[in-house]
Amino acid sequence: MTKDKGTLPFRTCLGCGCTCDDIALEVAGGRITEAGNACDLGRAWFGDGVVPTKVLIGGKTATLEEAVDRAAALLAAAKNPMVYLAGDLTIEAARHGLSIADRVRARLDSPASDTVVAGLVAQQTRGRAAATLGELFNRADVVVFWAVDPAERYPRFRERYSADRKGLAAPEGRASRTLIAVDVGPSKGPKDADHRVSLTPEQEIAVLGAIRAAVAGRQQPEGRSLADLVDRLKKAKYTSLVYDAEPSGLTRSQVRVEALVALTQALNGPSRAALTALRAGNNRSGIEALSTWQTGFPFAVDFSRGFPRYLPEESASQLLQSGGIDLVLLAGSPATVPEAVRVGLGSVQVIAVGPRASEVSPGFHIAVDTGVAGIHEEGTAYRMDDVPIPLRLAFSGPPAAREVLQTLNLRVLANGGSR
Amino acid sequence: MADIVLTLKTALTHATDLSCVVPDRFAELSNLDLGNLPVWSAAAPRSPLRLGDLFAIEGERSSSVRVKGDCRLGDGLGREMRGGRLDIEGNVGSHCGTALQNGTIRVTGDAGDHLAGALPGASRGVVGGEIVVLGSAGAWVAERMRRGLVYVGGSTGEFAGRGMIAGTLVVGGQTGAGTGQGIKRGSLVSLGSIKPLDGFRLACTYRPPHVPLILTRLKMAFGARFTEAQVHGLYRRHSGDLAELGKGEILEWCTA
Amino acid sequence: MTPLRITGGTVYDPANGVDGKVQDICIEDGKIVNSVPQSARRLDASGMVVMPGGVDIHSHIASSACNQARRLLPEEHLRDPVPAPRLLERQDGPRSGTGGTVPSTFTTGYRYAGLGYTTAFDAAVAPLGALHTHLELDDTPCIDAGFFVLLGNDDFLLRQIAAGEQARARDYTAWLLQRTGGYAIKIVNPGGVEQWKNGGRNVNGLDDVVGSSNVTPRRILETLADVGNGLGLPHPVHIHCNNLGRPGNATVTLESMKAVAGRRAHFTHLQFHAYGDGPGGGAPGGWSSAAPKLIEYVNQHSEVSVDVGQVMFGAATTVTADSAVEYLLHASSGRKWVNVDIELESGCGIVPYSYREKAAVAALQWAVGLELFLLSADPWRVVLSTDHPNGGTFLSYPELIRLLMDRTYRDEKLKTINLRLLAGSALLDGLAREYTLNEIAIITRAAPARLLGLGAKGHLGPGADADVTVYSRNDDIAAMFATPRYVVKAGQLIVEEGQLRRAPAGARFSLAPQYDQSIEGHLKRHFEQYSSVSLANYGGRG
Repeated sequence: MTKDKGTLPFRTCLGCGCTCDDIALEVAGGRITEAGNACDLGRAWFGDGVVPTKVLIGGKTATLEEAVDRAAALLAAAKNPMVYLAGDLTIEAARHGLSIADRVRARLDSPASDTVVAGLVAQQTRGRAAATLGELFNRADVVVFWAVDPAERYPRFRERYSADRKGLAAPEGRASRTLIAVDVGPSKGPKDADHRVSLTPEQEIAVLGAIRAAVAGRQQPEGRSLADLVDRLKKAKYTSLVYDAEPSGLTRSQVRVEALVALTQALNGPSRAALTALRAGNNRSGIEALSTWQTGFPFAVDFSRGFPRYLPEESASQLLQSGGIDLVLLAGSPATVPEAVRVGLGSVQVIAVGPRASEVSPGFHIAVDTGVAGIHEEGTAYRMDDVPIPLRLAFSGPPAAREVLQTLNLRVLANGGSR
Repeated sequence: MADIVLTLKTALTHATDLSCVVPDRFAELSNLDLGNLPVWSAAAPRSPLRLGDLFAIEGERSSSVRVKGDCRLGDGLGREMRGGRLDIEGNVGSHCGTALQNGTIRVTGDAGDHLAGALPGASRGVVGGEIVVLGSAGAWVAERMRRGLVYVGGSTGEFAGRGMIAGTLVVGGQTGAGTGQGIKRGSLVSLGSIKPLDGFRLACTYRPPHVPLILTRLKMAFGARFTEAQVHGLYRRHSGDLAELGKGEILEWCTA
Repeated sequence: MTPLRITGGTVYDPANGVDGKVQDICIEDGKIVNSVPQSARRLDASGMVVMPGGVDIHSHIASSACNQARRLLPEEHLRDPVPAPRLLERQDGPRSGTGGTVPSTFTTGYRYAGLGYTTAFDAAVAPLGALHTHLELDDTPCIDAGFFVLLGNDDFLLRQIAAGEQARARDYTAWLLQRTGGYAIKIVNPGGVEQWKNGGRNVNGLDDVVGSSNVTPRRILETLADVGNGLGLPHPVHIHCNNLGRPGNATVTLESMKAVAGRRAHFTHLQFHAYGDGPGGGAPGGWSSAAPKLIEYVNQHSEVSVDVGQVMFGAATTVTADSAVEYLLHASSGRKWVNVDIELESGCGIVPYSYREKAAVAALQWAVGLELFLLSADPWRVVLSTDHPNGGTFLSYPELIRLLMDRTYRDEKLKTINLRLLAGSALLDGLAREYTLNEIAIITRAAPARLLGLGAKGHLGPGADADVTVYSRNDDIAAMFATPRYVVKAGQLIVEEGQLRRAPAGARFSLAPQYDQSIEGHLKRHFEQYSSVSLANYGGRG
C-alpha cells in the first residue's frame, strides 16, 4: 500500500536489531515527515526517505544496463572475488547476491566476520539457550543485563521486549521483576537496577565460571555480592540474561560468549533461563540465516572450490588487507559496513549496489543506487532473535536492490559463471 | 611396506592447504595418484595445484609417510587422519592433526596455531591417536580433545588444552595465557611454567603414577627428552576447571 | 510441455489397483493422461519398475528449527560438500551446498529428487516462523511442499480451551492456517512444552493440569481433533504424543489414541512413543517394546493412521518442538544443545545424536520401528518415515525398504545389534513378513498422499500430477531405491540415467479455511498484550 499523503501503520524499522514493527510513518509528497513510535535511532534510520538515483561507472553517469554488463564482465574476469552482503538488504535481494557468489566461486561474507563472529562460533560449539523476544517479557522474573545498558544502542528493547513490559508472568512489568546489572569495567548495566555487581574485564570470564560452578554446586561463590547473585539466579523462575553481541570497548572473545552460553544452559535444570545477544539492525541476522540455509554456514563462506567451505578464522577486513581479493561486489548499504572493512575496500575494485552507493567518496568503480529495504522496497528482514518480519513499501524510489541483483545474477548465469 | 617420502621441491610462498596429506588415505594410492592429489595455494584459490607440483614423491600405497622440507606455510596436514604414521622432518603450519582419530603424527620442528585442534564449530577435537611436536607450537593446542596424547617439547601459545574433554597434553616449555581454560576431564602436564586459572584448585603435591609411563612412552617412541627429575619427580595437582566439571587436572612439575 | 510416454515398465499404482502390470504411462501438460499422440517422446522403461513419485508425510526440512540445526553443525557440512549438479537448463540455476544430517536447502531438494521423492511436508512450523519456512522452501527446488502448524501449546488456543470456547478455537485455527499458509494442525507434546517454558519439567499424563484447571493434554487433543475434522481439513490433526522417548510411554500413547477415538487422527513417529517398562511388564525405568500392543489398536481402528519414525543406525540430529525432551537428551548424552523458547506458541530443541548398533536402547528403538511395520495389518494407515533427521535422514529410506522387503538381510542385521532389551520381543521371535513392491508403493507414496488428502499425488491415474519414478531392478533392494533411473516431476524429466538434470521450483500446498472475522478483534487485544510482533505483521504469507 503506498500513498501520496497519510499514515502508514506497522512499518518496520531496521535501525537496530530490535526491528520494531509498530512504526507509523507519516508520508507526504514522497517524503517521510514523521516516524511515529520510533526512537531517535529509528528516526535517523528512516530519515526523510529521500535517496539518490544514480548509476555511475568510474564516476561517470551510465545506464543500469551498462553497469550490469560491466559488473558481470568484471565478475567473470576476477581472479579472487568477494561478495559482501552488507546491511539494509531484504532476504529477497540478498539471495541473488549469494547466488552470484556461488556462481562465480567467490568468497562470501557479511559484517558478521568483523563483529559478532565470537558469538556465532561459540553458539556452534556449545549450542544455545535462547528465546524469542516475546518470551522474555512474558516469562522472566529476573532480568540480568550483563555489561550492557540497552538504552544506549537498543533504545526500545526494554519497553518492547524486556524489563519494562507487562507480560504473562509479570503483570506489573518492571515492578514484577528483579533487575540485576553486572558492570564489567566501563560497560555498565542500567542505572535503575535493583542489584549490581561490578567486575573488571580481567575478572569476567573467571566470574562467569565461578557462577556456573556455584549453580552446579561444585563451588561456593566468593564474596557477598556474587553469592547473592547466584542465589537470585537459582531461585528465579525464568532468568533473562542479556549481553551485547556487538563489539564496543571490551574484548568480545569466543571464550567469553561461550561462558555466557554455558552459564545459561546450566541454569536450565535448576530453573529456566534464556540468553539474548543484542544485535545491530539492518537485517544482519537475516543475512546469516539466509547464508545458513543456502550453504550450511552463517558467514565466512568460501566458494572457490565450487562448493561452500567455512573459514570463520579470517575476517573480511583481514582478507581485504592481506591483498588476496581483487574485486568486491558490495550489496546493501555502504554505510552499514564496519570501519575495518571500509578501509580494506579502498584498495580493491568495488561494484556497489545499494542505497546511497553513489555518495561514497572516493567513489566505487561501479555504483548503482537502490532503494532502502522497508521504505522503497518490500521483502523480509530478521530481528535479532531470528524472527522474520515483513518489510513493506512506503513509496517507490530508485530501482529495488532485488531487481538489480537479480538482473546481475541472471547475466552471470548466462555467462556460465565460473564453472 | 616402504615409507612414502614427500620432499618439498621449492619453498612455499603462500599459505597452502595440504590437508590431502593423510597417511590412511595414501594406503590405497599409487605414486601417480599421489602426485595428482589437489592442493590449494592462497595465491590461486580457484585453481588447485597438484601435490606432485610441490613435492618430489617417492613410494606409493603406504600409510607410513615422511614429509621433508620447511612446511611452515603448509596447513592442515593429517586432518581427520584415521591411522598410520605421519613424520614431518621440519616445521608445519596451522591446523596440523585437526580432529585426529587414530595414528601418530610427529613433527621435528615447530607447529603453527590450532595444532591437534577441532573443526570450526565442532564440540570435539582430537578423538584418538598421538601428536608429538619436538619444537614449539602456536595458540589453541589440543582444543576440545576428547581422547589422545599430544606433546609439545617447546612452548605453547595462549589457550593450550582449552575445553579438553579428556586425553593428555604434555608441554615441555612455557604455556601461554588461558591454558587449561574450561577443561572437563583429562591431564595437562606442564614441565615448564604455568599459572593455573581461577577455576583450578590446588589439590595436592605428589608423584603421579601415570606421568612416568607417559614420558617414557614419549621418549622411547618419539625421541622426546626428559630429565630423571621430570619423570619421577613431584607434581602439584590443580584440579578444575570447576566451571565445567572439575574432573580435569593440571600437573605442574615442581622444579625444586 | 512436450508429451511423454513411459513405455514397457512394470507399474505399481496401488491407488488404482495396479499391482505390477506392464503398461504405458502417458503424460501431457504436467498431468497423467489416458493417451498421447504416437509422435510423443518415449522413455523406454522395459524391465523397470514404475511408481508414483515418493511422498514424505513427516520430515523436517524447512523451518527456523532446521536452520538453527544447520547453524549448529558446521563440522557435518564441512565433511559433506556438494558441488552444483550439472543441469541441462541454465535457468534452473544449479547451486552448490552441503549435506550432513540437515542439508542446505538446494541440496535437500536435489537429494529428495535423486531418491525419487517429489513431495514432502515439514511437520513442525511455529507460526512465528512461517514466513521463514516459505523463504526456505523458495530455495528448495524439485519438491512440492507444505507444512504443519504447531498448535498444541499455543497460548491463545489454550485460553479458548480454558474458557470452553470451542467455536473460537476453530476460528482461530482457521485464521492461523490462512495467515501462515500452513496445511495441517500439528500437536507436539500437548501441554508439555508450555509446562517446560513455564518452569516445570514436562507433563506426565493426559490429565495433568496445564495452567488452567480446564486445560489438560487430553482436552488439547480432543479440541484440536474436533477442530481439524470440523473444518474439514484434508489432513486430520497430526499428533506427536506426550513423553516422547521415555520408557513406559506406550501407556500415554494408547490413552491418547483412545482420547480421540472415533475421530480421524494421525499419530506421528509412533516408534518413539511405543516403549514398555521392562521386559514382561517389569520394573519401571526398564525398557521394552510395546509395539505389538499399539499396532493392535491401530489395526482395529480405521480412523487412526500413523507414520513409523523408524530409527536407522548412524548419525542423526534430533530437531523438535518438544524442547522438554531435548533437555533430557542433552543431559544424558552430553552433546551440544540448542533450546529456543518460542513466544506464546511452542519450543525448539536440538541435540545431535548417533544411534549405535551396540547401544541397547538404540537397538530397541530400531526393533520397535520394524515391529510396527511388520505387524501392521493395513499399509494404507501405517506409512514410512524416519522423522528426518531425528531417527535418521531421508537418505536412509532405501536401506529401510530393504529391511522390510528382505527377511534374510533383516535377520543378518539383527545378529549384529545389542539384544539386551529385545528378549521376548516379536522381532526376535521371528517375523517372517516381507513387504512386496506394491506394499512399498503404498507406504511411500499412495498412502501418505491419501492421508494428506492430496488427490493428485501418489497415484498414476488420469488427472494425477505427473510425478513418476522409474527404478532399474536390482537384487540389492537398497541400491535400487537409492538411485532411480528416471524421475519425472510435473511432467518434466528431472533425473535421467540416475543423474539430476533439471531442478524446477516446486509448488506449495496451503489452505484457506473459512472463519468468523470477529476472531480478529480478540486476537488484536491478545497481540497488543502479549506478542512481540504486530498482528498486521504476524504469520507470514497468508
